[in-house]
Amino acid sequence: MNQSKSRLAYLLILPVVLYVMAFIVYPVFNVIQMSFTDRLLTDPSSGNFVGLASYRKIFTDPVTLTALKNTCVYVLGGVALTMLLGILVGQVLSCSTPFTSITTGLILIPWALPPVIIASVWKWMLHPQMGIINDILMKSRLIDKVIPFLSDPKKALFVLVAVLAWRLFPFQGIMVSAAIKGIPQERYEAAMVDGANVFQRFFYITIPGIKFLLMTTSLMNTIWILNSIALVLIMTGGGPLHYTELISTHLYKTGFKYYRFGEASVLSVANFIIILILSILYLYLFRSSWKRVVTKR
Amino acid sequence: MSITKNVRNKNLMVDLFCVVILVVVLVPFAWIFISSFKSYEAVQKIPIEYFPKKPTLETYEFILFNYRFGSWPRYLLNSLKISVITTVIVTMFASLSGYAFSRFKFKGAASLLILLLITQMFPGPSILIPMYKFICTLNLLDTHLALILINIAFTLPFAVWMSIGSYENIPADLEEAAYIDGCSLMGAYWKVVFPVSKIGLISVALYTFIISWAEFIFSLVIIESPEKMTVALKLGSMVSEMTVHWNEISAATVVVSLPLLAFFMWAQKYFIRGMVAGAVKE
Repeated sequence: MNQSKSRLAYLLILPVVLYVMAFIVYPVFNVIQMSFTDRLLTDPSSGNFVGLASYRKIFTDPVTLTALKNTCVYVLGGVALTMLLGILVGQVLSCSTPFTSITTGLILIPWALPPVIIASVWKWMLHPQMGIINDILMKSRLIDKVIPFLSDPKKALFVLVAVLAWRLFPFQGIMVSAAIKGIPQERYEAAMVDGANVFQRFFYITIPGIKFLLMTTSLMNTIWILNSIALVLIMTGGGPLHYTELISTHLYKTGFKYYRFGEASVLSVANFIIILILSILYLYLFRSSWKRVVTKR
Repeated sequence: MSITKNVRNKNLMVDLFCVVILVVVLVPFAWIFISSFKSYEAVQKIPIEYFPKKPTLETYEFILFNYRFGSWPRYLLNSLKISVITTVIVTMFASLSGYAFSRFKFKGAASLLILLLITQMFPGPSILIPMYKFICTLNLLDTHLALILINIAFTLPFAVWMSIGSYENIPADLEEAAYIDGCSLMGAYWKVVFPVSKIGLISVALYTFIISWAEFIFSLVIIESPEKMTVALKLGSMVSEMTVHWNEISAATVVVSLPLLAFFMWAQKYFIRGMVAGAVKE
């Protein structure tokens, strides 16, 4: 029975493992290998081993350095802002009134819709002349000159971070509220008896209670942000003048505008490394939570 | 101050805050919805005309029946075909392997699970280049099959994790009882476990559908023929045109969102439960 059971288990899992090997693991190795070549999409005789030449070319390119810096701002800013808003919203949604459950149902909509839609809506609303945001700000006399949100080099990246957080915070909030509801009520009551104020209760009970969730969701958000390119590609296309260029948009342009597959592969590898470093960083920051989880198993 | 009054005040604050959240989240969609009933002249107006003076369905009619460049019903069918096939395949394989992972002890289970977790990090632009090359080698450039294969690869790892979570909530005694009554292993799965795990599988299906419906960048490099475009791809290209027809984009957005929202509204209760079970559980 036991032997047939584990044979069956392998049989059930085999298709998934083979598929993932072929369509993710193989391409990952393929791109690492390609990053050491001079592959050009348009030239079949290319693809010769050139060692680190593509790496040297890519990392001495000022656009790459800008893209690296922007990616860090975009990812860390997006994750941090989402987390802050998520905790705030989660606190509110964890109180049960009839209205909070309706809110929970409705605010997930932006999460379900394609990023392409989100990008186009915001691109329009942020437009200097046609956009309602400038119009409302002007009419309420908060500003006296329109703000070119997406074409101002100093602001564009931060505006993108805000749109990103807008896309991610409702989901984060719902997760946080679920985690807060899971914290035993007695802890709060005991703390109140001991005279802990709102802030003490928040920092000593709520935060430790949702730390594990914050780690998993931040990791999910980071990966999502690094892998979603549509938002930036449609809203600014990396402009003005590379001020919102990310590794991913730079990669797309190098690969499919200039067909330099070898150099684009180097940027893929850079993207992998960023994901890896950030994952390790999160695991380190939240080590106390996951260690507890791991040892429990 | 009495306790009840205190509670009422707190609830009022909570509700007020909820209103703020709803406004922030829903205003963009309300704007799109309202604008879809405007003509091109009305969206071009400066100062902005917030509510259409003459609401019209002409933009919908135009999008759905006489669109200049191609046909929206076709794009919708393309997207529907790709997303439905992807969702059926992913849900099936994720449920089977999720079942195996959660019920059977076997060598290598832990390392395979970690492999799935790691592969989840790579989808997206990072493997755009090698995936494109791979699809070329398979001779699948400019086909919907290529997009289906890619969407499956990107959703499968997380779908497996989600379905493991849903099986963990079902007590194993259920199948033990079925064995005793003479069911085979797979018999117990189909007759006993599958019906109970439906809720979990609905959330897997919803997740897969949302991702496939939204997929943009791979469609952008793989699809060449205009008639093979997906809705996300078409919308993206409309926004990037020289003169942007915002009323058309609004109507198209509403049309593109409807199937998704219908599925989502129906399934989201299960979905939140499924996602939360995966991420909160320690």
